[in-house]
This record gives sequence, structure tokens and C-alpha cells, in this order.
Amino acid sequence: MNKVNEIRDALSLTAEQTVSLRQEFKNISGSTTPWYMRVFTFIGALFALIPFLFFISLAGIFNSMESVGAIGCIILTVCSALTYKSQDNINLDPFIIVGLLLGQVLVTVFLITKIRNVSLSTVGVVGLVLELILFVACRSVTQRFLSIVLSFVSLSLIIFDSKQFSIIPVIIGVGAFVYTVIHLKRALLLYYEKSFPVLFVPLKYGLLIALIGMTSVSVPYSKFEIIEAFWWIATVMIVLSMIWFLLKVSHESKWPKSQLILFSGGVVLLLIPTLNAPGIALSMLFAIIAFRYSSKASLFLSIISLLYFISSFYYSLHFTLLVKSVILMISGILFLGAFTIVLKFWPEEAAK
Amino acid sequence: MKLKSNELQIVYNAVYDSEKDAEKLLAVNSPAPNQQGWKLFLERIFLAAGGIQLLAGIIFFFAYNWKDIHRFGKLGIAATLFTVAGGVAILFRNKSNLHKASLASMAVLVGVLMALWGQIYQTGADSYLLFLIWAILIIPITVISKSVYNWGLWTILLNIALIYHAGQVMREWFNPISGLFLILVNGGVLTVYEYLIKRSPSIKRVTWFSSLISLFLFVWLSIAAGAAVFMEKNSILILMNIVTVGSVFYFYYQKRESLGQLALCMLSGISMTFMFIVKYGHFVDGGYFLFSGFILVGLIAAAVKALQSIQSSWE
Repeated sequence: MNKVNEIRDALSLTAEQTVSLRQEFKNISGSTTPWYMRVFTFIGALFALIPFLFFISLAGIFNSMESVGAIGCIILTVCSALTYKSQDNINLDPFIIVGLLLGQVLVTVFLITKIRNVSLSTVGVVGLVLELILFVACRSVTQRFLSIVLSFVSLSLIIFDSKQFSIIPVIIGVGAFVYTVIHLKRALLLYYEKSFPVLFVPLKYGLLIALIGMTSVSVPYSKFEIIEAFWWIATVMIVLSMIWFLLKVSHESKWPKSQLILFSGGVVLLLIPTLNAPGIALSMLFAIIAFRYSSKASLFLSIISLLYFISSFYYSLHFTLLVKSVILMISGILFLGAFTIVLKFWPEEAAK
Repeated sequence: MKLKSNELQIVYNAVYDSEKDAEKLLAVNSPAPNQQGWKLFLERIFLAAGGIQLLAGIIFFFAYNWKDIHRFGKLGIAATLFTVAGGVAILFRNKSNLHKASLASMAVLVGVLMALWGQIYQTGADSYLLFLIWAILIIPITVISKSVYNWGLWTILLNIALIYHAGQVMREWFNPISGLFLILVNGGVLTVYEYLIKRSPSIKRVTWFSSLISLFLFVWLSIAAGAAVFMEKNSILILMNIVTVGSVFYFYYQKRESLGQLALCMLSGISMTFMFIVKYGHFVDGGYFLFSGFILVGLIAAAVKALQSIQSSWE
């Protein structure tokens, strides 16, 4: 019950509130599960999935695709129901995760075999609906994370089948905005939806991974160069979200206006030359948000993606190596200049 | 105070009931960094972005003119950069980040110099020698730097040297001797690191470094065990896998509490079980795989339960 005492001290709770909290904390064995335990369970579940697939194959279930689809749906329903039982208990998680993975594999196999008869868009719509249902119905953090990522995969199927590529930058921009909203408006969301804290983690990481994945199609010299002209829409939407976030942060951390203008202006200036490479703006937004909320995993992922998108940007420039080298040196010097400005002019006493 | 998501939900539902309360709770749970924190963040971002881009620009510039530069010029450029990095490291030895970044650049430039030497004079040396000598030459810089980034680079170089040695000298990528050395190198680095932390309390523990080295260690252990199981290589590797995993588990359970390392040990055990299941599976018997699947799920559930109990006992 040390945790309860810690919470009591940090939040200055009354004796009555502390008793009520102590009662609630008695039943949450899975509450302190670190993230790597979930990764451990997921990897272990992937190992266990393979023998089950061998079994299904040897049992001849794959002979009838209708039965594959039906069994997949039954497994998904049962496992989703089980997540309510194991809500705060990670011990049941391995069984449920294996079941959910198996169910999704079976339903996917069923849908793929049906592509001959139905369009890819239909498969995408069914996948999207299925994943959204699983996100709402399942109470497993791992499944909710997977549902977000797979929803974006399904959405991509619909887009690529209907060739409506121009919608991708808008989806990325809206996704970045949603990512900012779930961080900035967390209190409001918690007030209206009491279960929001448990939705937050899978939503955050799912959006981060899915948006980085979707933005990677903006990298030129890939198969998707065809939609290069529209990427600025995504960058503008991301920058607007970033400025909104910085405004809130400056208010919260009591920055002087000059610092806010310096920060926001620097970001905008930096992103003007990379208007058609939204990955850079997106990774910067993720990095700033991750730093504000001390999320080391998100910060790590955003820095990796930033390195990827910056190197892709320079690689794709239609200039000679000499011009590229001059651009790189100038921007390097500008950044080092910015470093010196921060080092010299960011007031030390403001920290006190 | 840092609450997990479902703890946050419980606290809010148990004691609060308004948006203002929610804001208060979230502000206590994840306080905003102060101005000094933001300053440090910006400093690091700008320094890294500036340094990397300037260096890349210089490399691109010489790459463009490479064919026209005399061989002494090529070596001179790399040597000059090495000297400049050394000068910056000495001049800014009180600025911790810049000092460490300069020493890391020096370590990288040693490799560049060696690669240039090999290219100009066509030494015909095997790739493993480049990485091995590079690792040996940067030992003084790495020791002086006291930086996990440099030690990380050093360990990666040794790993690459041993991998190339297996392919180029032993003529067999999966051979027990190379596997043994890879396990010894990574296990050795991990042991020395933990020993130094224990001996000198002034050394700050960097979790990602020990986790990275452990990950290398467990990847090589699993590959070695896989080679032993599937390619019928020396089965002593399986024994070594069990002994190493057992030792690491004992250390991080008894001596230094780390749930992440214990989870890695257990995952290694589960992957080994999986290998045996696949190796000795009867591919006509569905019941065998059904049973094996349940065994694996049961093992994961038992491991999760055990990890939770360990965590509770530590708390």
C-alpha cells in the first residue's frame, strides 16, 4: 500500500479519500505491469501462434475457407469477452493475445481468399470495421495497439484500391492533430470518458507507429512518388498542431513571449524548405510532445524516424552532390548558431 | 509520482469528479519540464542536428571532389578532422555533451582513416581486421570518454569483427567457436559494466546500455542454440545457453533488481522450447502441435506470473 501513501502525499488527499482509494487498489494486480512485460507477452504469443497454425492446417480446417472465417470470428468473440474477465489481470493475457492473433490471422486468410471475388476496398472496409470493433470491445492494451495500426493498414488498402492518394496527406494531418488533442485535452477526455487513461497508451503508440508508417510513403524514389505534390497539406496541418502545442506549453511553463516566438519561428523557418517532406515535421511534433510528457519510448521512436526522414529528404533532392554538401553545411552552421543562441540567451535564472 | 494508466483511472474515479480535478491529477502525474529542461532539450537537438549536418556536408563535399584529390590529401583531410575533433574535446572538456560528442567523432574518424588507408594502398586485408584493429585503436579514446556511447560503438565493432571473422576466416557463418566468442564478448562487457557500477558509485547507471548489451547477448545465445538444435552443431552451445541465461537471471534477480533483464532470460527459455518443438515435431500429427501451443502459452503465463511475483516481492 506504499503506492497509496505516495498518492495521498502527492495529491494531499483527505483521510476519507485515502480509505476509498485503498479499497480500489486492493483489486488491481496488473496495474503496475511495465511495458516490456506486454512486449514479452506479445513475442511469446507469436511463438505460440505457430504451433496452433500448424494444428489448424493439419486438422484440415483450411480446406473450407468459410469454416476458417467462422472459426476466426468465434475465437475473436470469445477472446474479446475474456478481456473483460482479465481486465486488471495480466496472467490471462497470454491466452487472450494468442487467441486474438489467431482469430485475426484466420479472418485475414479468409478475406484474402475472397479478394478474387470482392474488391480490395471491401476487404479494407471489413478490416477497418473489424479492427474498430476490436478496439472498442477488447480491453487488452496489446490488442488495442494492434487495432490502431491495423486500422491504418485497412485504410491504406481502401485508398490504394480507389487510387484516392490525395487523401493521405489529410489523414496524416488529422492524425497528427488527434495525437496532439489526446495529449493536450487529456483532462477533458478523462472527465467525459472515465476509461480514457487505459485507452490513452495504445492510442498514443498506435497512432505514432501508424502515422510514421503512413508518412513513409511520402519519401520520394519510392513507389508512391506520384502523390508528391500534395504533401505540403500534411506539413501545414502538422505545423499548426505543433504551434498550438507550443502555445499551451509556453503557458504551462511560463515562458516569456520572446522565447515562444523564437521557438515557433525557428520551427516554421526550419520546416519551410521541407514542406514536401511531412515526415520531418511529424517526427518533430512527436519529439516535442514526447519530451513534454517525459515519454522516453516515444522520444526514441521519434528521433529514429526524424533521422530516417531527414536522410531521405537530402537523398531525394534533385541537386548535385556539391550543392547538397553546401546546403548541408549551411543548415549545419545555422543549427550550431541556434545552439549558441540557446546557450547564451536562454536565461539561466528563469529556471528558478 | 508516476502512475500507470489504470492506476490513474482508479485514482480519478475513486476521489475526483471534475475536469479541474483531472487537470490537477495529470499535472501532478506528469509535471511540465521547467525552462532549464527545455533549454537542455533544445541544446541537445540543435547540437546534434548541427553537428551531423555539418559533418555530412563536409563528407559530401569531399565525396564530390574525391577523384581529383591526391592520396595524401585524402588522408590529410581525415587526419585534420580527427585533430580538430581532438582539439574540441580538449578545449571543451568542461562541457560534457560537446566533449563526449567530440570523442565519439574521434572514434568514428579512426575507422574512416583506416578505411581510407585500405582503399588507397589496397592492403587486401579482410574486413574483420579493419573492425578488430579499429576496436583496438579506439580503446584509449573510449576509456577517456567514460561515455556509454563510445563503449557501445566499441562493443558493436567487436561484434562485427567476430561476425566477419566467422564468415571470412572460419568460412562458416554459424560456427560454434565464433558463437562462443560473441557470447563471451557481450557477456564480458555486461559483467565488467555491472562490476564497475558496483565498485564506483559515481558511475551513473545507463539502463539502455546494459539492456542493449543484454539484447546482443541473448540474440547470439538464441542463434547459437538455434544452430545447435537445427544444424546439429556442437550441442555444448545449448548447455552454455542454459548456464549463461541462468547466471544472468541469478544476477539480475539476486544482486541487481531488473525485471526487464529477467523477462529477456525467460524469453530466451521460451524461444529454446519453441525450437525444440519445431525440431522434434511430427508434421503429420495435429494433436502434437495443439498440445505444444498450449504448453507455450502456459509457459508464457507462468513466466508473467513469476515476473509479477518478483516485482511484488521487490516492491
